Amino acid sequence: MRAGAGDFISKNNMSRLAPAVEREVREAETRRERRKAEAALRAELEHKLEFYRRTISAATGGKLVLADYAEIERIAGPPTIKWEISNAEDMEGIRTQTLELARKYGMDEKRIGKLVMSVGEAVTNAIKHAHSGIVSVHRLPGAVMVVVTDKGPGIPALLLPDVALRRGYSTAGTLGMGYKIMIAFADRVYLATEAEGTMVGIEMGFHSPEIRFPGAGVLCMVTVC
Amino acid sequence: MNISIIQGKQRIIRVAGSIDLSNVERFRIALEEAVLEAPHGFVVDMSSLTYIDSAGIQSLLSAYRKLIRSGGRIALVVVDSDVKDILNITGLNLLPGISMWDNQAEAEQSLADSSQ
Repeated sequence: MRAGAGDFISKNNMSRLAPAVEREVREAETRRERRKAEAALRAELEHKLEFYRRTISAATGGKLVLADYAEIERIAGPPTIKWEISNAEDMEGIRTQTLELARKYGMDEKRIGKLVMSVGEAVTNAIKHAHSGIVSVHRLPGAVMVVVTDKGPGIPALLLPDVALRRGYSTAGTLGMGYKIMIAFADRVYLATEAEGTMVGIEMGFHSPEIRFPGAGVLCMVTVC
Repeated sequence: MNISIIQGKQRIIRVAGSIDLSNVERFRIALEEAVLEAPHGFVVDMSSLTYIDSAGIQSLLSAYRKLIRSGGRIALVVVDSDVKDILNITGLNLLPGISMWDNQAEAEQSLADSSQ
């Protein structure tokens, strides 16, 4: 603007200066309004996303938590062990090693079976939809988290409620049953799904929650089938 | 995973070991053949099964959907508690044409009774 104005003055074009300044002020105003509108749209989107996350969490009794990669990585912490999976034949070995590790940590035998099945489902999804993935086991206080990450197509947000919540047999392709099983068997499932892939964090306490948090009062245990 | 087909009073698909994505195709084929060969129903003996995942359940479900058209039934022999849990969670135990037994004899008998 300043350079343009300077140009008008030096070329002795003063009569055109005022309209040019007015036009510039108007355009600046428009730009400011647009930025405000974009910020408002972003805030609204963030608000809706938060609503969506809380709805999913409430509907599953807190057992399915929509998160992002950073959040899951923060909760999991550094891995005890990491495996690469590249085909369906790898799955049995992963299950066995997960079982042995959980047993070493002193997890209740009944819970070990459920952990292994949850991990099995997450790994199956990774192989089926991404043909490869990474499985890592993380030690938490009184619990274990197994994180399965793949670089597959992710899950479209609009399909998530159907995949995770609908009773009976969903038509949401082949994703349906795996997540229902994970949610039913694990203590908590963290799910981050983005354009670059999917990350599932399966959390399982060594003992049932009532024992894990003695004196925590009455815990509402909601089993979603 | 071992699959064997036994023809006793009823057709029996006996599976042992684990059923997962790596071998579910064999299970699926055995079920499809059973649907064709025994449209009134058959037994799936899972008493030596230690693991089955949603892929395996999906195969059972597909076979069930075809079988039910001819009024057929599937009698499952289930012993392992983890296997029972997964059948319960996926709701397979609630389907009208599927029954669960803890031994082969009763499973076979249930098919004989229902085909009368």
